[in-house]
Amino acid sequence: MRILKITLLILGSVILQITLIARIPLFGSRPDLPLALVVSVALFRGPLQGELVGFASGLLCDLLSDGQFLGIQSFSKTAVGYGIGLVRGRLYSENLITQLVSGFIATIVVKVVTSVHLSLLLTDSKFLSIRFHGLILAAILNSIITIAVFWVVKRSAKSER
Amino acid sequence: MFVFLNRYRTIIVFVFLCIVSLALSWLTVGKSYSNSIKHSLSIFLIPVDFCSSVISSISGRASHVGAAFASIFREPVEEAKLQSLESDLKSLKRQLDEERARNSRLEELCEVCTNLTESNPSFSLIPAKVIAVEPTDWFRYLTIDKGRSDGVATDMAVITRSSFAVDTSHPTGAIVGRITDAQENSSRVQLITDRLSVVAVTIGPLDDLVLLNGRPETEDCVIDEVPSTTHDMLKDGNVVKVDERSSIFPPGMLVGKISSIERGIHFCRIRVQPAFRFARLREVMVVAVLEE
Repeated sequence: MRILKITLLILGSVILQITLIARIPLFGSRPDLPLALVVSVALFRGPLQGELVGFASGLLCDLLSDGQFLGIQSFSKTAVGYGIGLVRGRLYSENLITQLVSGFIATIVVKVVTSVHLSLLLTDSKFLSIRFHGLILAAILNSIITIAVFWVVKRSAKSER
Repeated sequence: MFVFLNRYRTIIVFVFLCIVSLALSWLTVGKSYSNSIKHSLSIFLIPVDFCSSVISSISGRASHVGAAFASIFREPVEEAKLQSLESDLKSLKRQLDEERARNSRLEELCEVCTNLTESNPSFSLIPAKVIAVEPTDWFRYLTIDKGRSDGVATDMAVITRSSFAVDTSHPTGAIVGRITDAQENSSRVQLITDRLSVVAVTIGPLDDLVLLNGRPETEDCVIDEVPSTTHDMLKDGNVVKVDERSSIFPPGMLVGKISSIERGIHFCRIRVQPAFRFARLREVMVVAVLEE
């Protein structure tokens, strides 16, 4: 049952990301709903679930994206899911500040990892240039929606008990 | 072995997933692998594609409905804005027309002044605006915005441009009245249509000297008791000018034209229409005589 719920959450976040969110830019940037889900699951469940959800949602995003590469988003989201899950034991995950900061840092880490990954794959340093203005804006948006997604994950876990 | 795997389960899964991701990315760098891998995995995406297409169509229709709904409210707002803009433009056009008319009047008045000062170098002209006309003094008095501080004094002549041309196509000056009361910054002007106004004028081909009196009730002037020897040579439309011996008004300046002649046996009464239009009197000139 839990696996089904997580699967539905992953599918729902990816579908919403590629349909609705892709059409509605907010101040020139877009939030990353699957990433918010990865952070929320990692904060709530720990590193194992975090990396698995990260891998699945990342791979699904790679498959549904127009890009030719697979494994780019899955790698970065796996790393983020594992990293955020590791700090779960050290921080109070239900604190709003923790969720905000986790979402913010996760966005920056995903962007940096993706840029390095692409530059190494294609041996082209142009992927190392990052638009900081857009990155900060996206990080702020992601940190805000992480709070909402965390609440959804928590509610779905409560209904299991 | 199992204890080891169980203890380090998380990190082992993490490493495995990273290797898989890196392998996928490395394999798909070359295009041929990318298409085949994507094609083989596409079967799992059928429900995702279906859901995403449904949501996309719903969101597309919703955006059309929202745009149509918003246009209902936008049209009246835009119409109100257009109406407001139209009234602003009309107001601006009125102002522009007024300014153009004023500009035209001032140009003609300027030409009148130039002609006057060229023919009479002893004259100095003080421009003034009509600032007040009291209803009880209609066609009798008006107030201008120049006074003693501007060099205006009692009994100075006030002129303006004529409302009709006389001999040439150039604008002609016409007398309006004289200063009766000069305050510090304003002055009162007695019009030639005032009952108490008397102006020495000449009429007819022989320039007969007669006295012009004002008639505010009929908005014109009259010349009474004109001898028959004079009025026989007069007709409607004849010009009436200031006599050269006038001590107040510039000699030869236009007063008006004959509008009607009431002929009697020995005398006649001549009605004279002033050369200025009272209703359009805005700018005037005060004639100051330079002391030699």
